[in-house]
Amino acid sequence: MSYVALRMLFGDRAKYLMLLCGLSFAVMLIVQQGSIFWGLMIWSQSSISNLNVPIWVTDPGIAQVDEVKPIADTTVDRVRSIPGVEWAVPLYKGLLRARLANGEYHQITLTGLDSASLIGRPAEVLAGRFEDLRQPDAVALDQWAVERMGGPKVISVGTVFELNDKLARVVAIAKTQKTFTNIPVVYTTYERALRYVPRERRTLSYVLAKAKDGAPADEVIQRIRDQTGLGAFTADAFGWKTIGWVLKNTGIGINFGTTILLGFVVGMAIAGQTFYLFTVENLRQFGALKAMGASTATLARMILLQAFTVGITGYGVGIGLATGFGLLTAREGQLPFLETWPLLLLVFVALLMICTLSALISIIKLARLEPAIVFR
Amino acid sequence: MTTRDGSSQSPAPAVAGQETPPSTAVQVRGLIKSFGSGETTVTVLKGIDLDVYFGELLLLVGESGGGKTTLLSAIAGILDIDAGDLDVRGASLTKMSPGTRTRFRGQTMGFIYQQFNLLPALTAAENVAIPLLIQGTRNKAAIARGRLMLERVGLGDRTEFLPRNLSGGQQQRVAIARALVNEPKLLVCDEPTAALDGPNGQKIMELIRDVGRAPDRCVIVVTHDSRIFQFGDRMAELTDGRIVGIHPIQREVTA
Repeated sequence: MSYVALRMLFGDRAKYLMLLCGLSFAVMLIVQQGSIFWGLMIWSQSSISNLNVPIWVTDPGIAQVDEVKPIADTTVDRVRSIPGVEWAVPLYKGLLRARLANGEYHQITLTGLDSASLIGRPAEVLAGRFEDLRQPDAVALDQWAVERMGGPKVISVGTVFELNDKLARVVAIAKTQKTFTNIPVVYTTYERALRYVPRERRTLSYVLAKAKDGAPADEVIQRIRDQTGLGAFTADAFGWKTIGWVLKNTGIGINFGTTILLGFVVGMAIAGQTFYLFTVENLRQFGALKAMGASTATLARMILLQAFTVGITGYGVGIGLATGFGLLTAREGQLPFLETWPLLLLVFVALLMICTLSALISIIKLARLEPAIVFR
Repeated sequence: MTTRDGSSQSPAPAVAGQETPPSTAVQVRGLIKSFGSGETTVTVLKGIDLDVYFGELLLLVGESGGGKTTLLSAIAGILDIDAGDLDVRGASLTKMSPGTRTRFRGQTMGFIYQQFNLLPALTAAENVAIPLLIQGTRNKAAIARGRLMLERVGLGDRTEFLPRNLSGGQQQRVAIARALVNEPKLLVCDEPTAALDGPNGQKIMELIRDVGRAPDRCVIVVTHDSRIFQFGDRMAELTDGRIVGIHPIQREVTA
């Protein structure tokens, strides 16, 4: 009877398309909202992922990566002396204003990297050479800085601008992941960064480190915490800490969470109700089948087959639409959009659950259906 | 004629080519069926006794609301009864579990409805194949058999048509083919001509009589259409939930 079930499903194109539209819309709504939300969260910890280092040593009271709490300059040497640490380098991170030749001011995030190793440099360079940061007054920008500061005609490799009345010359443009605040990032060496910023008692923002091969990172991190009294995290842990802070303190979590939850509930309600109505509208047909000798189990299998067929089709179409939206609007990273397999799996499981639930409601109705309905 | 429990029955009909009296296909005794509860209870069938024999076409007639369709539904095993006994081919429907009754129905009965009840998404041949598909016959074999049945009812050139592309009379022919495709022993028809005009109704009844009636099968037709009374062998008249008379039908003999 699978054949009959599928013909019933596909045969009435208007009903089938309505059903498919409902399910696809529900899936698209959830995946699109979820992906934007997750994209935003990923952006919130871009300052960590863009530097691509395994261990971050921070002030013990650090809340998130963009809320810098300077630590003692001697910390780098203290971390280097801890057993299991392969290397440790300083990192400066702070806000500053850049003044372009055209007189415009732009707030930037100044990132000072270890001059010897340039550890923390972006992996991909779009123009120029990152190694040229070692030249006098040299700075590098990320591609978002070029975009925010006026585009390639205004700023490119070789352009000169001022940071706190001091000369800065662009030697490279790097490709990075956009940050949550989208403030342009200017890279330079650690020592030069300290020359650009106003003098403070403490200037070291973070220490970036790596555990020796064979030394468990967790143990090394615990040793750093114990011996320095500072905070130490893997990049992942620091990223999650930052995401947690954003969720808790910005209202994004509640607002987006509510939207996603509503999308989920509305979407699934649409899906469930549409399928239930589909069954109810075919009740007389099912009654005729029952009268002709189809058992409730046979009808239940037909309903489940219909539910899962339309559910899986709707899932595919919904994911396709959401992905299309992502490709169109989030192209080149303009908008946060990140489809992750856990989200897709979650939606898939939820959809199967709602299909099963609506099918079960329909099956209960069919089980109670007296086939005599066909004679009325 | 008096049956074993004293109920009144008309004589068993003579069936062409059959020397011995026909055996009973359906036996109904003391059937009671009510709907609703409490003060709103309506007793639709008030102790029905009825025998239907193999080889005959029995018409159930009577006023609207008299209980014809309810009795047909009960005999077909698609409606639970409150009291009484119901035997079809010697098997007691009332003692069967719902599952067994459903299987029994699929193997033993064919249905023809007033509204045809064809699945709109399926072709004529696929619709006819449904009872076979329910019994587990493979798709290709069932549909091939459906096509053969459609040829028997004169629709050999419409096998791949969807119901919406067929006339009312043609749709009812498809329904008849569907009802007969699994060689049922009991054919139940509820107002099979009600949705059709006069000539088409006559043709459908001719078809039911010619193709549907067989020595090892009985046909029960609920109708209020006096124009088709001539197609029956006997007529049972229901009024207010009781059978008030069962008469053999005299056919006009034409030269």
